[in-house]
Amino acid sequence: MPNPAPSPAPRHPGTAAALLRALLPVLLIGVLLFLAPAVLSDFRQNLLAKFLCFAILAVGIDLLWGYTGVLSLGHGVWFGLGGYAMGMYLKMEDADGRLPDFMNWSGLTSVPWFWKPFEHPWFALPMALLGPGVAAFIVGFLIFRSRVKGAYFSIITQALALILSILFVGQQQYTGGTNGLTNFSTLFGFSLADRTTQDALYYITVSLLLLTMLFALWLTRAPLGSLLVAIRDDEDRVRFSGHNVTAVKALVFAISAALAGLAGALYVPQVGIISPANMGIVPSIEFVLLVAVGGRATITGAVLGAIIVSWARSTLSENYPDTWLYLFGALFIGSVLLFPAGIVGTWRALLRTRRLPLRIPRSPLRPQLDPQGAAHE
Amino acid sequence: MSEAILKIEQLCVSFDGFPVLDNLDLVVARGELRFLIGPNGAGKTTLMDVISGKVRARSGRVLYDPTVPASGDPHPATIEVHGEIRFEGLDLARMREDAIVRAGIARKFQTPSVFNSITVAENIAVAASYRDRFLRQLFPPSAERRERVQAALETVGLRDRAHVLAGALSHGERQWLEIAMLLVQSPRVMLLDEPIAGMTRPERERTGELLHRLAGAHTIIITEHDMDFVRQFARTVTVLHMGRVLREGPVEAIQADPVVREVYLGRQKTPAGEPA
Repeated sequence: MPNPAPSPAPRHPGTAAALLRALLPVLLIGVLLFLAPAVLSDFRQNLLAKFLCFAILAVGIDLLWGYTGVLSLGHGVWFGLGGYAMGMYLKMEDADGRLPDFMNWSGLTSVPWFWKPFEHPWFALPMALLGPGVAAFIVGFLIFRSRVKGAYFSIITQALALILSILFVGQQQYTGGTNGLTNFSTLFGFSLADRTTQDALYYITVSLLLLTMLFALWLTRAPLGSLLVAIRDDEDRVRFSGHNVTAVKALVFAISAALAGLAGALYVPQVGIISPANMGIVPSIEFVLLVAVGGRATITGAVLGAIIVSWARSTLSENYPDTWLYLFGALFIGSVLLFPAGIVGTWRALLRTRRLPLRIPRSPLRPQLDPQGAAHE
Repeated sequence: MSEAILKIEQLCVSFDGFPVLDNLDLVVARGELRFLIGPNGAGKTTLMDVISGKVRARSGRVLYDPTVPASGDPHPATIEVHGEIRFEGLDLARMREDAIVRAGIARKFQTPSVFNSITVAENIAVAASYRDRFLRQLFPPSAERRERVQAALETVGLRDRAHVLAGALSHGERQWLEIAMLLVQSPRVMLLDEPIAGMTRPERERTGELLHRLAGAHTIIITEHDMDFVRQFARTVTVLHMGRVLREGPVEAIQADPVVREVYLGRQKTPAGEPA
């Protein structure tokens, strides 16, 4: 072929070397996170555990947005549902057959029927994943079936986040209202204030994060991975290739939501509270920014982005209590404008071309917010 | 003529009341290589849109038209389709586009549309997996599947480019890649909308020969503007004009037909009056 176009480095998925290269970041991150408690104070370790919950959620958002091109601005909903499932179990455990404290204050006399099953961990824990997963599949299937996509889909998910957080604030007797669910004391009989319990939770979170990363790597390196990217590139062409795009997108949405639910369930016992403030519009947008900064369509990027952004947020707010929000905002604008590929995407481009892919894009947000393919003739 | 595989009867399509196809009848036999020609606006692409399910009947009020991207609606909102499209006992007018493909009718678009951010081989693999269940797609493809992808790559001569991102291909290569994505599904009917547009002369020759090799095992319907190409490779030609079938027959007879000449020449005389 007389076409000497500088094609990107050839990819040969499936070879042992490629597999090793893909697993290396997981291994590195795993080793670092398992060693981290040795150098971190208890307080910092607890903060890191919180960031790792966000990292699990970020991997889910990356599958949906980075790979499939579907931008959800309402993942707080799924995070919240997972968190509330865990919170309800913790509340029921604390109440030990009696009425949870806030229900007492709100004038309820008996435990509502939908709270009852949450006293069993075998129900509450699977529900933290299955609840968001099934709900997202139904919502996603209905939305994708009517072929709503791009910014319109994002707006619907955002409305969902708003509606659900308002609903949870309003139903104080069932949800704890604005305060949410808090004042937990034990988990499976272990005191949450106990250092060993928190250590165990930290290692469980790290393990689940690594499993999530392996799961995501498997999904994206399997034939399904190319199908997802194909949907991102040109959804209509995938339909005309005979694939049921609606079902695939709804399933990915469900997987993404289940991971967010898992993150929520891990977050609650370590942070000690879940409230509507965790599931509204603002946290939902912050979740997306984790992936944008880390690098879309790279699993490592989502995890690094989540840890780095959360860490920056906490450091900035500690050191500049008055102006940290402005600094934080500037960080986002700067990184998205200058490095649209994110940390890992920029790093990879650097390795490939030995040049910094620094540029001032003309309209950097458009391809991100509106990832639908071109119309066919 | 051998057995009919695709049968279209009294097909009428109108966009916002404007007729695009008008009582069109068309029968295509199994294994045939059929060329559709006609001036701009004759309805060639619309005919393919209807067969492939891109244009479907929407009676009554239309709130959202899925065939049109959500922003900047270039098409009218109401589409009416009447008539019958029969393919082996199936009524295509009632089917979704992905179901039509799974039934055995594959379509190549006028502007080559391939997936730019995955490799050439992955593009073909995505097309090849069109009947796989979701769970099957989580595991590596079978050896038989890999061979078929390889065979499709070789048929269109893209084997050396297998691991290049499709976005880096030249225009002609993209056309071939899209043809390979159809081939790997071994569809019973292939709809090719101007497959040689933008190709160099040697590339056209190769494409024409490829189409001749494929006809027989596949039924192929092609729309084409390039009369040289039609003369060289066509057997049976259908001429569309103003949404109707004007003439149908062997290419020599069509070329000599005074009415066909007038349609094409008349178009040249008044270029301003030609519908876009």
